Amino acid sequence: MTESIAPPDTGVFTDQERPKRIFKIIVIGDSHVGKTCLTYRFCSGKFPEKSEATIGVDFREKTLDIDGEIFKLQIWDTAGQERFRRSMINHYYRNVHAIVYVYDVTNLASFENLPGWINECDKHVLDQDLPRVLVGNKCDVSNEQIVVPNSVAQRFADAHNIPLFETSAKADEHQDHVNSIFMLLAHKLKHSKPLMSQPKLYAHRDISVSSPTTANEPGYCSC
Amino acid sequence: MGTKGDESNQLILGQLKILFERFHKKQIRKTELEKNLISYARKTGFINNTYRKQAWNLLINTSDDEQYTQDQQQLKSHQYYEQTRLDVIRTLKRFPPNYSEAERSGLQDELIVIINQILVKHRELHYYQGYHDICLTFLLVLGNELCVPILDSITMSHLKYFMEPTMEKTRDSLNYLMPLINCIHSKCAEYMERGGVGHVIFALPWFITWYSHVLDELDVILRLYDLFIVSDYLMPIYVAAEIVNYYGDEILSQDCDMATLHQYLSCLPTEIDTKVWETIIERASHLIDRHPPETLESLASEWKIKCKHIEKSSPQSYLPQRANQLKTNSAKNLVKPSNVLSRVMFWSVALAVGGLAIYLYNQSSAIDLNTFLNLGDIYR
Repeated sequence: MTESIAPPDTGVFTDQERPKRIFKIIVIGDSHVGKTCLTYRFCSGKFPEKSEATIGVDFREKTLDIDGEIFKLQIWDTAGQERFRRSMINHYYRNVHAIVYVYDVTNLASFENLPGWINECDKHVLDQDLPRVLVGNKCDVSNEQIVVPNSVAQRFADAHNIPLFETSAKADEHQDHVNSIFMLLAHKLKHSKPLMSQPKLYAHRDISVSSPTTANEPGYCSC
Repeated sequence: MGTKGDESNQLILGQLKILFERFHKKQIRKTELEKNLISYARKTGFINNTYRKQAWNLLINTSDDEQYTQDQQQLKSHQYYEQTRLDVIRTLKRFPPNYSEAERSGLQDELIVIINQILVKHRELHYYQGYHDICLTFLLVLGNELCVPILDSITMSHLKYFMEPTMEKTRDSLNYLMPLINCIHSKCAEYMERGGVGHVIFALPWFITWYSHVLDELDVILRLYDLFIVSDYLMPIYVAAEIVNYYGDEILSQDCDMATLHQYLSCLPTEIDTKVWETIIERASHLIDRHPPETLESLASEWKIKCKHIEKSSPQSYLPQRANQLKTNSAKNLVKPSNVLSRVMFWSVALAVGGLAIYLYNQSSAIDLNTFLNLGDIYR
């Protein structure tokens, strides 16, 4: 089995290279847990030197080659502040294919707020079988700074049937680990029902791109 | 500022200098000075911070007897203290490069105090991420002492809408953007709606931080602030509409999907050079005159009707249409006669409307032509 993480996107594909499938992944969690850094680490292979609060939604993408098949992961990095998500970012749950919940292992509140995030997500995402992962970020710190013990997090993850990863977007040695989180989702998505609705892509430069089979399929997640 | 504009900037600075001198020598009244300064704020900006500081101080009304707590305990116990602290300490990009590490760190400490002083004074206000960007800009121009009362005043006149318990008012205000784009570039509005970016979240940081969260150049940010302090709180939305209008053709050449459009639009302000900003500001000022905030509701209703039509027409029928009618007015797409009968009906109605228009025109020479013309893209 061959798999590799392709270099950052050029955004231009020839017909053979054009990604067969595009997956939309939403990253959610409290503010300051490191959602932006985590997605930046995965998409750009480094830790951003200056990372500011996300206002609204930021977007990053990464092309993957899994077993010779090209996939594109669209990663939507959302604002953490509760004020924004209540009335602003619910549009971004539409047609989502996978969810990444993030908390900060040094911030108990960000862990305790996870049920709120899961509830909110369940309200917007009708398909309960959507691939999800739980990420405890900032685990590069010393042990005494960690306030969410692995055992507690693992129990929570098991109870919700979500795989748990404790990692660090900051530490370079965790790059592979961060990649593996998204690769896990990509693999799950690759083997999921092929009928799932794709994010709309009508490239008007390429009139024939919208194939009649994709538009009217029953939505995998039609919220 | 680029060297190209240096000459005209010198001219404006000279005029501002004379204006302030005349005021200090009591040759002109304060009201006249203010009137002139408002005009500069709209048309050119104040160019440098010496005049900007004086101008903002004059143009933003403050009362002298306002009290702001210095009590550290009270500030630190505010519900948003920790959030503001975390937001401020990671605000690095926005500091001008000539600031030393120590200066920056000192300013960050001041900024945390300033934000919380305002929040303590106005308990009804809720902090939002991005308010710190605006506060920092005022702090950089005005300095600590002058900054707090002015920021208090501008918060209550322009920013309080974003600081209500929920952000519904913010969302509703932001939702005026598409109706405005529809007014000046209907094809682009339709394209954006079809592409799934009609909820305009890409413009949220533009609106609630007055573009300071997205722009790198402090000079451009300050130029926009000059405009915003003398304008309605919705002015950033008019500017956003004119940004989209200016880059309309580029937007139409992007793929019509949410990810591509969101990405392209989000980064758009950083691509704009100083000269183009002036054009956009000028157009936005005209736009707000032509469609003042109180008329936006009716534009929004028009847009809602159009959205229903867009929703109904499937992407399949849209694609060939786009290819064939790329240059035609999208308003025509609203009427799609599907058979002979409906075609007959369509032309009958068109003739009747035309006849009525001629009749009305002959009947009354006082009819404002604009009411007829407003229906199309005449602004372009």
